[in-house]
Amino acid sequence: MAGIEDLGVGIGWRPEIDLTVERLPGVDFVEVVAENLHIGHLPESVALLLERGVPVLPHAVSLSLGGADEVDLHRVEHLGAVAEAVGAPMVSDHVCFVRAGGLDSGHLMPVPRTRDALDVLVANVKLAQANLPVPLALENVAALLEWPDGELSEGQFLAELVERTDCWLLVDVANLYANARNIGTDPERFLDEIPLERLAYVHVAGGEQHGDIYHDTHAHAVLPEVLEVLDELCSRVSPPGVLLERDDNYPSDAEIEAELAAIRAVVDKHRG
Amino acid sequence: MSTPSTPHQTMWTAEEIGFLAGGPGRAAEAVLARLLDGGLVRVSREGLVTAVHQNAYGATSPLEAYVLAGLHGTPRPVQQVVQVAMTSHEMGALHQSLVARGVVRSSWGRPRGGKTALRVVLFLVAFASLFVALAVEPLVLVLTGMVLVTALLLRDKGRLTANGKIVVRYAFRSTSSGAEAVALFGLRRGKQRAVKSSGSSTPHVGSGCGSYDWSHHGCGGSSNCSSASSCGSSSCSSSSSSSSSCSSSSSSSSCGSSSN
Repeated sequence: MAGIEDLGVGIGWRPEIDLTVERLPGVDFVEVVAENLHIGHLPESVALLLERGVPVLPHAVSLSLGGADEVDLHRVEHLGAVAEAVGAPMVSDHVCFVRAGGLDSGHLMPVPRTRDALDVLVANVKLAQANLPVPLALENVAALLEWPDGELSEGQFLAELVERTDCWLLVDVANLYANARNIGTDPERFLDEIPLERLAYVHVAGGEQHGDIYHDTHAHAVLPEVLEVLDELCSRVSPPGVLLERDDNYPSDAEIEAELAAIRAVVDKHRG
Repeated sequence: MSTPSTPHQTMWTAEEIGFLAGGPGRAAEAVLARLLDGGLVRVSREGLVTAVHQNAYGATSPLEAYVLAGLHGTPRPVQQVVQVAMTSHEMGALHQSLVARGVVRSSWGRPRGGKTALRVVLFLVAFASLFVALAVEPLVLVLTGMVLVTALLLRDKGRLTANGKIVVRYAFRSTSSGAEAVALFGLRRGKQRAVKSSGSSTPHVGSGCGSYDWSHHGCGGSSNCSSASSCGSSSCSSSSSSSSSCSSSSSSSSCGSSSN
């Protein structure tokens, strides 16, 4: 897979669990939230991981590439600067918008899957790519609603996005599971439709059911059903990397280690 | 878990030893160290403390439960955790229990108010009388001595009773866990002693704990822990028990220890 190296199994680096991440066995790469890093003042833990040769991938949450507002190039430049500071082979953000009309939603809002929205997204992605020093991967989000008048399935939407921008895909299997539970989408169809050869890596995360809604909290254990979606993905393609995201209610080191081991077991099963 | 300790064959937990050795601030640090030992909290390099479980799971004392409850869903700096625990009702209850067990005085601290002024006056009088004795009348030296003795008798008593000092003395001889080391030496020095051989990287955490005058529920005069301390990660994962233990009756018998 040209351009994207074999990353292995990783975990999202967060300040609260920095020592845990350093100590965990078998962490092949980490991902940092780009907006939380300051150029010229990398966290000691991140610097240590870099010294060890652990790849650090910046992950952005605020580019709002699916929005109708102009792309904030300062944010893009910051993302690129973080990538250069950590020597990252790629960066990522989401297929979503987080701002509109001067308001910030605080959430990753799904983009209407219309051709008009795709045109806007493609233009924004191309602008971001032109201002980034490394390739850009884009992630599917979890949605609690579907905009009306959608013209494309999520898989078709992303496939066309890749075709028109040459971006990479960051597939979040927990989001696929959440969407299946909440809005009835089909993860297998999604995997059928996206260009798996453009898969950069995979996110895995936990969540919790609240009434009729499954919340992709990143604060609970990874469900076996999410690992089943990962299993399905791995049956089709060997992902360059798989990363565990945990953002709150951090469990014991042993529990995190067990989750990483479970992920690795799924990946290894298909690698023979 | 532990064996009895003097005086009166009593078990002493890390937080109790911390209180005895360094006051409420040290007790709070010992609680934090015990929770780290037990894998119940984690501390980041920047000194952020987070609870590993919810609902104060794993707490073995009201003070531990209080600290864990304060961390529910909210990472807090080490310094803040220590400061809040220092002034908690649970710390007050720990103090009272130690008073009831005859190892700590109900109040202590720097001399205050008129008592301090009186001691200053007495020392000045002693100095003046010494001058008179040397220059005029040697018999005035008797007065000098009496005044000095009075000034010394007016000094404030320390935090510990005689029994309390015995407990601390034994604890120094029998430190058996990271939490106990922190209880005796504070987060910075306790960590250094507890993980000397671990070779792990060390996070920088602020652990402010000033001295304390319990009667005023604020920082005061007797504890001696540092204002910036650090706690190593591996020091916090090696042992789970934190009770000091030694066996003896009063002043000079041998003391052993155990923990698991």
